[in-house]
Amino acid sequence: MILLGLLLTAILGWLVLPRRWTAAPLEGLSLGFLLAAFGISVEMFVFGLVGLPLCGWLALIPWALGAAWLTYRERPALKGLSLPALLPIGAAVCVCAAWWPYERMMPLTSQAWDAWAIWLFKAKAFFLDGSTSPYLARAAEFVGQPGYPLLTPLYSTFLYALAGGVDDAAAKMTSPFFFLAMLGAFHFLARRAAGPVTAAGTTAMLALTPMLQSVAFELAGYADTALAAYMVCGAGFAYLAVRDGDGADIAAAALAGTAAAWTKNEGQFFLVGVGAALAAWMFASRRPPKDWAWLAAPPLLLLGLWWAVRSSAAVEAAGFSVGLDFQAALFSTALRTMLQKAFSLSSFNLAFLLLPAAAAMGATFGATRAFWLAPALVVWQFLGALLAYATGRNDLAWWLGTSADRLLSQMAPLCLFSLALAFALWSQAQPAPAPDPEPPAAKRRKRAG
Amino acid sequence: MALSRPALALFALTGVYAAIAAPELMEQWERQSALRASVGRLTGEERAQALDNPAVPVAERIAAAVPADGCVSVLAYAGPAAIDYYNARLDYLLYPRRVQVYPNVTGALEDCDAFAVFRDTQQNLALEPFQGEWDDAALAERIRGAERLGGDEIVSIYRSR
Repeated sequence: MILLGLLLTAILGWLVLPRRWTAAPLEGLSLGFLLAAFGISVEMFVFGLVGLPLCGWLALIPWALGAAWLTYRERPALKGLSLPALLPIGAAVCVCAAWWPYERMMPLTSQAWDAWAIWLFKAKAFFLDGSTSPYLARAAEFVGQPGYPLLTPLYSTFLYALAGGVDDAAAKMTSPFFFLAMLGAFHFLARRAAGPVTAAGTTAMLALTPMLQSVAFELAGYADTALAAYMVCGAGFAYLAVRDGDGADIAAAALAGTAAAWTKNEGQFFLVGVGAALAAWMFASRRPPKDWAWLAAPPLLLLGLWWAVRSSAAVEAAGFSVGLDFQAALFSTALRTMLQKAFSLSSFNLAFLLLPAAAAMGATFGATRAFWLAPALVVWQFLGALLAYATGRNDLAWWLGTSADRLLSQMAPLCLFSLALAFALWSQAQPAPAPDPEPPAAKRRKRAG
Repeated sequence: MALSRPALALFALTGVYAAIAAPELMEQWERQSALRASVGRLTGEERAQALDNPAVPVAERIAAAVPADGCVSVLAYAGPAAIDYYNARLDYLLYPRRVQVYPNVTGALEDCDAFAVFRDTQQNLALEPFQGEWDDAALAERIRGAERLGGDEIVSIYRSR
């Protein structure tokens, strides 16, 4: 039943996506899963607040109605597989094949501390209580970071509600699903931003980044894979919004940024970064009020409500105050360790090494401002992690050892998205094989405009 | 850009990326295969008993003796890190019951008259010895004034009279 819930999430989410995106089915299922998992978690949160039962089928009704209506009006694109897309699909199959036996190991619920002590504990408590309130009222009793945001716990609660019981082993399947959804969403964004061949190559690289696999499968039940997926969607849609000026991309970037902030505290830092970048661009380009409403409403409404609920239950916020308790020695130690880990081939392959290469290509080929958004967000998140470590809230060696790889795994997709954009610039700078009335520089300007 | 230089460079880079990933992927494959060989034939319950011992059997016995809206103070002869683990794990396994684990025989949750006593496995204690205060005479005294609610050789559950 939990598998059915995961599949329904992907299918119904796909069917409500804007048709003009012409997402291929695997891309659509991926984007749809990310959208609907976020939306369902928000529904469950609201159900709990207004006293409705946390019923899985009830949460699916709006999605089913929306999917039916939109499909009646226009069917989604059902294009066949393009040849380049076989490359990332092959890579994803290799990864899943390597990890396939692990699926049978899922009943080892005691593995992966954060999975059950933080995320699945809340899911179980919300399901058993039928609301978020009783757990939050007792939050001081538990060690599981009650102030963390609730996307993954409430989505798991939805799966439990569909299944009619707590099944933490099966709920851990959400992480591999988020991993596959991240690949599909990345391919969609890279294809729109840089073309099908570049999308194929960089998505294959994303699939073959060992730490991303490890977090998704070995640390199944953690929220980091979901956060990585929402972050790359936030950055990707923000890039497309700035490049093309389409309001749907602004809305998608705002929703993805809000979903990131609703997933984990690092996502809240990401939302500030991507939101500020979009706001600056929208202000400069005099966007209409509707776009401002799309940018501001999702984070203000959802996170404002969460803030109110959390505060009323006297639950301390997750995260830290920038600049508070800053210790320079801890900062430099964290910087050294983070760089070592980022550039480790066995962990992140070439992902982080390729970021400066992408930046160099961007500088060489005269990249527009939109290009720099993804690299800037990597630096922003990296800096945010260092500032957190520099507060000394935990023993630094232990803290770095247990979290640095996961934080970097959230940034690695952004590095590869930057690489995709850099390859697109390089491609556009090549002389066209056939006579072309427009010089490459003009194309670039046109694209940027 | 089928045959362009950027396309060729991208495919070459993807090949290098895959070559770097291959040993790691193989290692993961072997790791999972070894894990599967060791516990693959066990059912979920058997795995939990084998790999999350004694947290799972302790939680099962307590759940049978203490109602869901109840509470229990757990007196555990276990090492310090194990106490932290059992605190979190029993919170998880026994929710919505109120649970607190103590590395002594006198610990008691406020307004809670149920208590459970267990000794960590020899294997766990060999890895991390007990470092709390454990007075067998005081424990015997506490048990003498209590009603036994259930349990077995792994854990005993009582209610103070």
